[in-house]
Amino acid sequence: MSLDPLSHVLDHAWIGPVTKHQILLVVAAIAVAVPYILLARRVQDGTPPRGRFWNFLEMLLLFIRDEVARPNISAGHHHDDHHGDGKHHDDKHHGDHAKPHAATAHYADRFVPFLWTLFLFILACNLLGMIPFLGSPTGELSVTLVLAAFVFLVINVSAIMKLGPVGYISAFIPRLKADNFVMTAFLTVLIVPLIAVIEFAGIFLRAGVLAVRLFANIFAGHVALGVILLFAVADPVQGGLSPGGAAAAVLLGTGLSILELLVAFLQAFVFVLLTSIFLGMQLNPEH
Amino acid sequence: MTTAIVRAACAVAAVLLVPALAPAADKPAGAVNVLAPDLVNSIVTVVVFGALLAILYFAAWGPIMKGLQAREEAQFQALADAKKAKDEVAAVRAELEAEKKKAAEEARAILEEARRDAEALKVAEREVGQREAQAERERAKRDTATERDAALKDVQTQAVELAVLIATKALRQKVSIGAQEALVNEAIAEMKAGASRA
Repeated sequence: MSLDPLSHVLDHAWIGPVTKHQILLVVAAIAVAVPYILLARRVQDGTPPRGRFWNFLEMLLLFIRDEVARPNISAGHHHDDHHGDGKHHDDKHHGDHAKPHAATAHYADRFVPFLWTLFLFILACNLLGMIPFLGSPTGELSVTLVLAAFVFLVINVSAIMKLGPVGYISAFIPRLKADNFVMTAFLTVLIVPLIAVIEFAGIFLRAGVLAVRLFANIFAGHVALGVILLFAVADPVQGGLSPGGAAAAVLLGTGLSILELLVAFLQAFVFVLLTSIFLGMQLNPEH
Repeated sequence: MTTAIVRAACAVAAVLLVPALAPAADKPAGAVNVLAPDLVNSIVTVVVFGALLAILYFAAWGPIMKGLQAREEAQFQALADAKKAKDEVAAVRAELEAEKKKAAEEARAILEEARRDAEALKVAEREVGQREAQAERERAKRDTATERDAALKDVQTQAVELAVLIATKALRQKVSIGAQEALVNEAIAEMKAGASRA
């Protein structure tokens, strides 16, 4: 066993030139695609799924749709809604926002397939790290940056399509008013450009934050787990034995593994939740 | 569809550019830079995630969303049907209540009419009774008068018979005027006494 706690986290060649993370990315994709394609065949005619496994798979989808996408993404007040029934359903402002009011398509439903894929792919990548001798591709910044880039594109392309190029750009420029000329000139010349630059930088920062948060959580969790497990074998390597230390390391490693299991779900959820929030912010600018 | 292709193309272009923009890590031999971008892994991620998104979009998410939509429509339809049935039951219940109230009012009216009829019958019967009693009294009076007349007749008959008897006696005796007068007075007194007893 290597004494480098990073060795099991970092990518390295597995089969010829193909690296571990490249293979695990494909494995994660297959692990997501196969069960959900099978689920689709079972429920496409409107019949509910039978069995705990299929219900669990569908529960994940409904959770993302009803608790993440629909509450955070809406058509907004100033634009035509696309609910199909001609009624306004800005659920953020009507209390019971998570439950559909009618069997019509919600505005957020157009983003739900992307959010489902994102959540499940990240979750699968995270959970692969819980299997001994495998790893989490999401513990690599190159992977999370790509996922964040997808989110960046979806958010900004959707915002441009919804608001138009002029509306999209003007959304970065705040409308500040003052009751006298001096203050108005001050705001217009100094504050408004400053805020506009910050707002524009924010769209890149949001994507960067998504990538770094996911990478850092998964990477740090696995490094910590590796360090603690190395305690169990550190003393024998040095020529001595420490049964108490080894037992403590195993106990700590077990506890941390359970925590990592929670983190795997939590980080996938947080990634998709922040994506939905950023989408809602960009599609419905405050000013 | 075109929108999806444009989005995918933009995503691929941007993702390919992102790692290339990052500065190459200048690290000493043996050192590990965990932030160092791996262009190959980024490309693999783009391809795998893009393929997964495309495959699931057509093979899973479409049918699943369609199935969910159908199921939710069925659920909302069932809710609407249940509400409609509930409204119908409420309407029928209200109708039944109205009919029950109407029947109660009719029963009350019938009872009232019966009571009025009974009262009228009672009054009529009482009048009939009174009339019959009056007639009975009249009849009793008539009977009494008849009996009195009969008694008087009987008295007169007896008086005549007595007179005849007296006459008979008088014929057997020589009756003086004074005696005759005494006899007549005696007879009249007896007649009065007989009448008063009757």
